[in-house]
Amino acid sequence: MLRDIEAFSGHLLGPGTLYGAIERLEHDGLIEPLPPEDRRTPYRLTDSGRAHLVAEVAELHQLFRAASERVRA
Amino acid sequence: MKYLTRLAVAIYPSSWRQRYGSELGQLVEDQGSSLAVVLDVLAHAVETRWRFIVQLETGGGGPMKRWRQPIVLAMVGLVIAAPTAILVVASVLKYVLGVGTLFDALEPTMTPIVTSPVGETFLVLAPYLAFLLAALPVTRLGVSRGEGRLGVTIAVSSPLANLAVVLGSATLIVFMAVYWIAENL
Repeated sequence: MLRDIEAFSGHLLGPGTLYGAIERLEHDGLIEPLPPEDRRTPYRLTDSGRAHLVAEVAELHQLFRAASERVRA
Repeated sequence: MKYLTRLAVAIYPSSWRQRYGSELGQLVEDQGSSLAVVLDVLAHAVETRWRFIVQLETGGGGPMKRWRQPIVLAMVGLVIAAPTAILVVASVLKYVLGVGTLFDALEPTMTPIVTSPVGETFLVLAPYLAFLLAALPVTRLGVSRGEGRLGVTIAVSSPLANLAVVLGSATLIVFMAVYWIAENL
């Protein structure tokens, strides 16, 4: 998960930072743990998490479009 | 480094460790221990521990025990710092303002305490302990890393009782420090 985050964001999170985020996301019902695989515990988005992510991406997309238009103007 | 990381993980609240401890331990083992990892885990362990005490979020910490409530801790701090506060007020009244009634009334009780090493140490350290008891439960530490920089934020909520004990104990600490400097330098 840390490598994945580093690959798309360029930031290498520390284990404490990652589990702080996992705790908050799970507490908010946005992710849920799956049965452990090979000593690791995978997590997946819940329906609520997926809806939240879609809304966040849409908002970012709108922000990106607005910023791009202003930069071009 | 591995030992230090384990020590940092032990700072997390027990209910947090029961839920995430083995996963975090596995991740640290996979990633390898380094100073950055120790500091990262330590910062979040302290933040989580404080958050559980203050219960700013429920976070799986369960109901907060009554004695851990910020106002209760502030009251404990007040009781601990009270003898020092009374002694300082009585001394100021007598030696600065010339009103010795309170000091003279307290002297027979206070003299054996002030002249014993344990009593003196307690009276000196009490305001620091009161300060910590009142301040820590209402303080939240946030640590984030990005673009190679470490960001630290400190958020303080302010229940009146805690604020009063923090200000009172800080005043005592400053007063005693100034007095010590004036006497010894």
